[in-house]
Amino acid sequence: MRHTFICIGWIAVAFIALYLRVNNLGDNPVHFDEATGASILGQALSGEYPGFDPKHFHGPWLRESTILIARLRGENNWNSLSVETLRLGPAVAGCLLCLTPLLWIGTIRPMSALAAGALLATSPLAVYYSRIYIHESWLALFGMLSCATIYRFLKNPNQGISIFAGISIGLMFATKETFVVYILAWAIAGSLFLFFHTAEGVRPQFRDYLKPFISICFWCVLISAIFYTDYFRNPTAYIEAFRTFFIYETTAGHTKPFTYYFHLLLWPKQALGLIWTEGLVAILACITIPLSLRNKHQVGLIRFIAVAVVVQFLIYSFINYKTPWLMLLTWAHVCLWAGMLFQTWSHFSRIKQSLLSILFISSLGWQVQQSFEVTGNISNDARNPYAYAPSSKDLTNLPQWLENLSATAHIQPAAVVGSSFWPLPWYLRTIENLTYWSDIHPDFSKYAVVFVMPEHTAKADKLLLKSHQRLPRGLRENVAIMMYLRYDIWDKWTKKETL
Amino acid sequence: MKYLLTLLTLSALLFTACGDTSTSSESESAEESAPAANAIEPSTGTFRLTTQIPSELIEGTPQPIKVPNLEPEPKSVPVLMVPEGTVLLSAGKNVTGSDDFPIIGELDYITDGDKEAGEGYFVELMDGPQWVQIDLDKPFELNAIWIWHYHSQKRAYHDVIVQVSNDPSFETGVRTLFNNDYDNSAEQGKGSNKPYVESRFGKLIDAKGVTAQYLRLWSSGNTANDMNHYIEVEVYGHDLIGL
Repeated sequence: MRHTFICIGWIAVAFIALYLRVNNLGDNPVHFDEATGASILGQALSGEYPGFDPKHFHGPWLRESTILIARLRGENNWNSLSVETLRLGPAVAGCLLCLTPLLWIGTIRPMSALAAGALLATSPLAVYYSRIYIHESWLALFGMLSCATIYRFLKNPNQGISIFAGISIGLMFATKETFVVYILAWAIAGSLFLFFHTAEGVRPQFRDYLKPFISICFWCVLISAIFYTDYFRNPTAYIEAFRTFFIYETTAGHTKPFTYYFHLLLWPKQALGLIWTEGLVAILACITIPLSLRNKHQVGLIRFIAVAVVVQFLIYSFINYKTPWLMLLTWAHVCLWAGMLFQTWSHFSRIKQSLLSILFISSLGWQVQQSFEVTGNISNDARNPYAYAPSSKDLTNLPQWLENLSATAHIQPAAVVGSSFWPLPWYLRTIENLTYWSDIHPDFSKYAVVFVMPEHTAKADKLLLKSHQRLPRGLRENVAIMMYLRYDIWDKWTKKETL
Repeated sequence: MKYLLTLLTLSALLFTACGDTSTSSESESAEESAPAANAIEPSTGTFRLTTQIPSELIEGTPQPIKVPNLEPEPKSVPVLMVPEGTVLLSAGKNVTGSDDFPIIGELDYITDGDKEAGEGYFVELMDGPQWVQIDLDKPFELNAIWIWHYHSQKRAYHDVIVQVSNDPSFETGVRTLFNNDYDNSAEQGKGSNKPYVESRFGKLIDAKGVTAQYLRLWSSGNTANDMNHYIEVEVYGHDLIGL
């Protein structure tokens, strides 16, 4: 009976995870970061190796995994790429992430794993950032694989587990350079685990760890090198991959206060008719600590996860550069931790079981409501706490109009002027003879179309208002761009209406 | 004692400063809707249409504006001459919309006469093409439509379309008074009117004496975000002659 319940539970978790992650996947406009990633992917699809820029690039895994999806869908270049193709890989990774608590079966009870899976499947943070073409859901998937294998390695170091650990950490590195944050957190949590193990009278033989540890390093280097070097065709790229830790550059506007992640995930916020928080999951996680004190095996595991979470949270909070999706893998740890509420369930009194059940179901229900909201009508609304500098939906109409316009008149040459114009290039893919400029050029008065970023509109007005119609368009939240369309084309287009 | 005096002086200065702000904005509004402007031109039988122009946003936290030089905003009240006998028809009239559950505010705000920019004065509708519809209770000869979408931030609304009809479902007899949906993304037909930047002076549209009972106003997001907003819509006209 219990076995059937667990099986049905996992089917439900998989279904909910899939629905929340792939339903209307292509609806939202392409985000700034998605468009830059898509541009790199477009280069790779055309057979051009995009290289590795240690200043601006993340790992190549996202690109490599999407190449496969794009080829399967018959999209073989930048122009033919679809939004769904971009987002499908992260969505699949997000679904698989919800199944990772299964890796802990044997260490934790099936009910605990199921509860963790349910919390992961419905977490609005996990749902939202599994629907965007960024590296994070892949990193979270490989991170949870690594965490499970590292814990097993700590308990029983052997060659088999070290291979799995090495491969999953290697994939983390191939996905994003921030994997080092988690390695550091697991190293501290693992050291404490071994320290307390020793204190409790279990004496681990450190030489037993040496060979498997070397094996982990070997597999990690091998797997990450395969992807960074483009299957060993560009060996220097691997050196660049390490240089990234010293010269990485970020764009302005991401500096946030120390409490940013606390506010994002835990502090209740009222917006759009809903109170937003995932704080109940954190409360469930904290409750597991006093409840597991009697069982030393539980204490060791919970201590390992809890220390890893606290270290990751602190590291990310101390770093000024903050984006909400950086919390995804950390939050996956918290969901796993909260699921352990069911570890000593049978020892609880009926009253305690009832109270905890109410708390768990409430937190699940609250999460489901938030997740439906973040994937629904308000998914692109900046007041939704997870929407980060959303692109304007106005952009999505642009390609179709440009196509209609080009049937009326020759809309070349075209130019984009200024910086931080992403995701505009994604929406201008169909325009041939499109060039990008850092400043206004006198020749623009002859151009058919000129897109101007806010910092240059005053200058553009002086040059173009006599020759071009000015059309304001939305780019991102609170960022407008100006489209200047040459009067002969505008007149031809608007006169066509009266035919 | 010295500190007490300083404190009292500072409080008095602060109080005076607050008082100054509201006084100046009130006088500005009054000036902009001065009765003198309503004088009838004897040769044409028309007069300059006026309304109460709202003040700049003076309450709440200012919105961050990251759209420098979007467009020089209008610096004066728009001018439109309307026939003698033209009156405000829309005050308190019933408003319906394509979005039955506004995110912020109520559809009634659109005809309640309040044109201030702050919270509590505007209604926010969902993203995408959305419309609001005003029922004037009976057909009138319409002379002007004055629209305020949102004016505490420089922004331009996309696909602003103003339609009138005597059919509440807008399936027949629809006339378009204004349409700047140049790319036809709202699918109401391509428009050739130009996009404009919102200001406290509102957008004044000449209705050219068209006869209609219903007005439908479309928009589809704006340059700052995807949402649709209305503070106030004023419809001016007069009774049908002979009816």
